[in-house]
Amino acid sequence: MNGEFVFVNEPFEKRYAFLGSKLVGQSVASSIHPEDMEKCLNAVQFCIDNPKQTTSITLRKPEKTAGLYYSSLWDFTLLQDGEDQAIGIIAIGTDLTETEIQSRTAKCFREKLNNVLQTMSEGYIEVNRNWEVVDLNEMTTKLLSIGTEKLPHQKLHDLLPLEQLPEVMERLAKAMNEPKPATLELPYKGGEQWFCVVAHPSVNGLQLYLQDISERKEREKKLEELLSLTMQQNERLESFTQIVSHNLRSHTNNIKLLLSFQAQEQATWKESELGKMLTSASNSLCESVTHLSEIASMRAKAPTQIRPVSLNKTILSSLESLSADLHANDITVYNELVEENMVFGIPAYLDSIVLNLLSNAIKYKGDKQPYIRISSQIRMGFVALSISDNGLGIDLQRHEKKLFGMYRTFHDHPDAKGIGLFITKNQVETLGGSIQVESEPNRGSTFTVFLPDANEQAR
Amino acid sequence: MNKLVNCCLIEDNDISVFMSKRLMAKHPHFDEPLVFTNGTEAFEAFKSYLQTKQALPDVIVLDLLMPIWDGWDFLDAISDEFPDWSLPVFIITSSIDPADKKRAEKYPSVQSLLEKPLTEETLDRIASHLSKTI
Repeated sequence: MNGEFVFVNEPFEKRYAFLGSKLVGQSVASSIHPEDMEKCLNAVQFCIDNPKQTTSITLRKPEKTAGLYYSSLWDFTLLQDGEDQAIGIIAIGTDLTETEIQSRTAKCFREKLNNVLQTMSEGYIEVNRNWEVVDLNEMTTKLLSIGTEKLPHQKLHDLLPLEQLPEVMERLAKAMNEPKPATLELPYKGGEQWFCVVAHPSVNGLQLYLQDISERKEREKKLEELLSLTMQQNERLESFTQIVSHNLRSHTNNIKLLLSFQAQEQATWKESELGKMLTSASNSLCESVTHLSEIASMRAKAPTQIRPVSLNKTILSSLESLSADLHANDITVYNELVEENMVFGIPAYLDSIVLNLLSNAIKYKGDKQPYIRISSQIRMGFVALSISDNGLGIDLQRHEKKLFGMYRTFHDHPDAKGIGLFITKNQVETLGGSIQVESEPNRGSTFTVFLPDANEQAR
Repeated sequence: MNKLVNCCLIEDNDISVFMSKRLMAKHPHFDEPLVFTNGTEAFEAFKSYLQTKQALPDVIVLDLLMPIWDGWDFLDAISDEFPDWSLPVFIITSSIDPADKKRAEKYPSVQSLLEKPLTEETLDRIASHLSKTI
């Protein structure tokens, strides 16, 4: 009882070897951190006062290295002889160093994590398995526009309107129980605000990360409204064109036939100026109505008939059917398509697109050594087919916006009807492509048609 | 073909009727047509022909868009009422809608859809079709 070691076991001797080789007989004080001395004496006093009890204290070694205190947990019990006389203290120790380091690291980590959670731009809510809010960051209070005072012991549904959203609640419960992360969208204040919620299951419950997506939702809503409006207008326009083309067609065809009756009956009428003009006007009307119904039927045709088509074959057959024209106009054709190009299209449309662009190049050729150059390139999932000429060209500054419009002509040419490029553009767009033009008056034009690349598909 | 084709025209539009009549008058194989201006009228007439065992026309040329009973109503009525109906029917329409074509296939009596207005060539087609089947 005079404060000296009377027995030490082997592990103790090893760990406290820095005190010297023989510990028995030395003062206990040398093995205790000076600041823990009082705690130790209190424990001894407790043992003397309560002989049958044990007390536990954490003590640090008096080591100065690295500023880290090696600590251990000690159970102090009073040692008595046969006559209940106190003869000493038994102290059994467990090394806490590892545990201590771990808990320090954990504390440090927790602090860092807290900093991150507090300062990040997302809201953070942690709930336990009873859906009680254990933790939340400042951002959450901002996002939900709530005060911090009434936070503890609240349930999640006090913060978020989960009672009205059973399907959201179900998904959160699933995330917690499976456990499997989930991402969902949550309306707040009756849809005035929207949050994207990422739910991560944790040991104790669920961690929720909230992001304000109100603006995105607002944009989506506007876009949807716009889309439905456009679709309505499109439908109306389509049914309008259907009706117009249908009704016009019967009348124009009737007029044409009636005129032919008149011509049969009166040969003189047929040859008269009025007769000729009426017949010509009626023929033009029939042609226009045919174009109109062709365009009206385009939309309905599209999706089912699109398949991979060889662009090279289309071009070769168009060149062949135009060969007489090309020859008569003395036009040189440079066909620079080398590899096979497959595009998604409707064969009849591709024929019409290529034929129209080529015949335009012939129709509006220049005076000197006219040529047509055909080339292609693959760009971002599209085959870009370019048809260039050194012909009359178009003043794009004046005409660009009207170029692909209906019944637009830009040259004083007898065959210019102003329907070709309009139909071409419609056909290209029906196939999911686009058309571009570069041109300069008296230098020539380049039309580039972008069509969905089907080369992968065809291989 | 020795006998002239006796055609029954079911059509409401005066101009179309006029033109068809005229074309048939000029055509070497067609007789003057029997004309009804709507489906009900035609149906009632055929009902009485069949009851009184009168001679029937050789072919029906049927318009689709008509007041009271349209072309489809007429086709439905004859296939309900007369299961043994064997008179060929040609539909005339101003624009050949694929949906109409599909619908027409359900009626065995319908031979084909023809584009309006009737022309000399369409009459040739009808005549040659009949000469094969009669």
